[in-house]
Amino acid sequence: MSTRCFLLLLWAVSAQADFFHFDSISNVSTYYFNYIYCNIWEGECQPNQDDATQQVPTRDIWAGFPQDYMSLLHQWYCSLGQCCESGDCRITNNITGLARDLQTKLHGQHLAESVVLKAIQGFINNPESNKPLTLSFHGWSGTGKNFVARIIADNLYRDGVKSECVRLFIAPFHFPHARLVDTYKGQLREAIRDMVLRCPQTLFIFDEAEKLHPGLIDAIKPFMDHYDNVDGVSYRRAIFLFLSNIGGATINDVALDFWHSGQNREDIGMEDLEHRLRAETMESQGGFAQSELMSGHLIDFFVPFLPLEYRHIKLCARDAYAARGLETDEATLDEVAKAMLVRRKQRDGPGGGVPSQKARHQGRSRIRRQSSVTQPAETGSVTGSVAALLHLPGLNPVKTKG
Amino acid sequence: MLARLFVLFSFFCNPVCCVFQKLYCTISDSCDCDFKPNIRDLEWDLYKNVYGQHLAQDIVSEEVARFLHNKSPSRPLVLSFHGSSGTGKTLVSSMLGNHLYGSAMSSPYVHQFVPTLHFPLPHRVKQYREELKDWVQGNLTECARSVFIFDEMEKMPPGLIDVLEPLLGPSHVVFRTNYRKAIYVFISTAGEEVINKVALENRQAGREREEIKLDDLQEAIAQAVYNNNTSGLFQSNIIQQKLITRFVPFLPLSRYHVERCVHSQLCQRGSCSRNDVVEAVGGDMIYTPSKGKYFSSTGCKTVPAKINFFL
Repeated sequence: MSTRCFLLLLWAVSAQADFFHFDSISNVSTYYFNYIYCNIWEGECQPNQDDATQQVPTRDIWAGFPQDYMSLLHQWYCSLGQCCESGDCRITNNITGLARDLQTKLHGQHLAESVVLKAIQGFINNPESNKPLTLSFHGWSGTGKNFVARIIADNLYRDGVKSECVRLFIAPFHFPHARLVDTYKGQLREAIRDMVLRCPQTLFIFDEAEKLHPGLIDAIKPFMDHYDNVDGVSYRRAIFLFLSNIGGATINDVALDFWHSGQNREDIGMEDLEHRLRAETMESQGGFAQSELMSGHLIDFFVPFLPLEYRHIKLCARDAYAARGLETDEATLDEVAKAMLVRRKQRDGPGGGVPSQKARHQGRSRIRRQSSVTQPAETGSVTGSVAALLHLPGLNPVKTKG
Repeated sequence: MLARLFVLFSFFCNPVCCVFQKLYCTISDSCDCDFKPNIRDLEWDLYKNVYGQHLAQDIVSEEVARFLHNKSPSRPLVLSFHGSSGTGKTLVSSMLGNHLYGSAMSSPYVHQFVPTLHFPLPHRVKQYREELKDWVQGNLTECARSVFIFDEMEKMPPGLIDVLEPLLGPSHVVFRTNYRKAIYVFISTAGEEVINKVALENRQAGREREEIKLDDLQEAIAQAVYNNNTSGLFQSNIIQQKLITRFVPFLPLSRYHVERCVHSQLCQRGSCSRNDVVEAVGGDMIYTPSKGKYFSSTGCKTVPAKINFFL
């Protein structure tokens, strides 16, 4: 009896002296339980970086275990296709690919190229960001906003736009009726929460954001704010893209001013545009504009898309031909680009005027410096219009690739 | 005989008691086990990572230390943070959460309410009142030392927060718990005009920022919040009955503080020496008022994004 008491006392004292490493054992077992539950069982988990029980146990409990067995286990696990560099196989985070795509595929948007690349690179390389990345793309239709969003999705995620980590919301399609705003708010919140639970680095693209109802964005504003977690879910690794036409007029004005004064298009800098864009966005009507995002300063970057010039349309046309495996020559490209301008002249669009006529008055070479405001055709993109034009008689390619 | 001696020994001898308690705490995460207040770390965090808020630093560290020191306080601690956007209100509240509980802000005993998320529909205020009251009382019963943070109080439907009025006072009864050990934090931008005006006058008179005293602001903020019909505390009994322990003003940040924010962010990313980035980001922020340009209109809010751009 006394020996039992003595043993009990000894055990108690040794626990205090940490002889049996009780708390590290509890840490280790919690860690492995969570690891199995979250990664293999794929239950609902959120990484809590501050929770000590979730970190890898630093004291090497398994040091005594033979190295070969661990590496064998690792190899077997990887052969199941579960090991990827970034930890999650659906996310590739290919920044070099993104840079290359933006440089080769995107024409005439030097500002968008640099801002988008730096913003995404900085966000991906900084795992301790304290809020999700929120970008707002502004510019007239056809200048490449959706195109850039698609490039981002293709390079950051293994499955591109079809990935389960990418979700596209089109305002007039997903939220059409004004009187159902409250239902939409609930649906949107649920959708965002579910996606972030399944994939922490989700990309949300809101197309035609200027048509969003007032209050709809305010409902998801808490997700974009600087909170640690909202109802237990952390949104700090998510990315939000808003594509809209707001501010398009300002951007076009600035571009036209630069062109008139003879300056290089590449000299247009962010400082010329950002403050004016912010000011115009705050003043314009519509849900997106008046929303809390602007006043709460949750938008990280305003990305302007400049109107495209004649030479850029030629480049787009060349890409469209190449995509179909057809070769072409300068004359055909010229005709395609001119056809775009002809269609533009026939339609009297808002603002902008018809700079192509002004160009003639200025006497500059049409091919070099014709600035066109490419209001798109019904397809809604320059590439679409160009592709449509390729079917016109007389514009058939010279030779086909055999 | 020896056994009885041993049992007596183990009950009265402190180290052995603590051992059993510690053992129990390693496998459970109940409220008492998770509550590990660390005033020193909290002060260190406050003074090191919050820039330009001498009033907030002093008030928060003093009040929290005093409150936690008292084993049975006479009323709960109710702090109300006021100031314009980007000045650090949410940051300070999350520091509180981080240093009071072992599992930081993700602890189940730290509750954060965002009105646009939790109380979005104005015609359901009655239902929200009931739900809020039940939620708070239930959590108090489970854990007396809970922390309740109400962010964006200016979006709170008026009349909603009044349901908590009895729980903030000294003379209420909640069974099976001492409800007076809880901490409540209200965060809002109401009253920012008053604070900004005082800060501007101070600056224009050429005085030091540290000379702004709390007494200048306390009454003015209380008045402004009470009369502002967009704040959640519009004509609320909570202010009338003086249930708020302290109003904590957050002063607008000047360029110097913004540059310190930038510098600390850069050091976190390992590029401490890039003073050109500090200059560039400091210059890129928007400053108000239009003549003078003393204070940043967004505080430190867009700094990490701009750093990515200039780095």
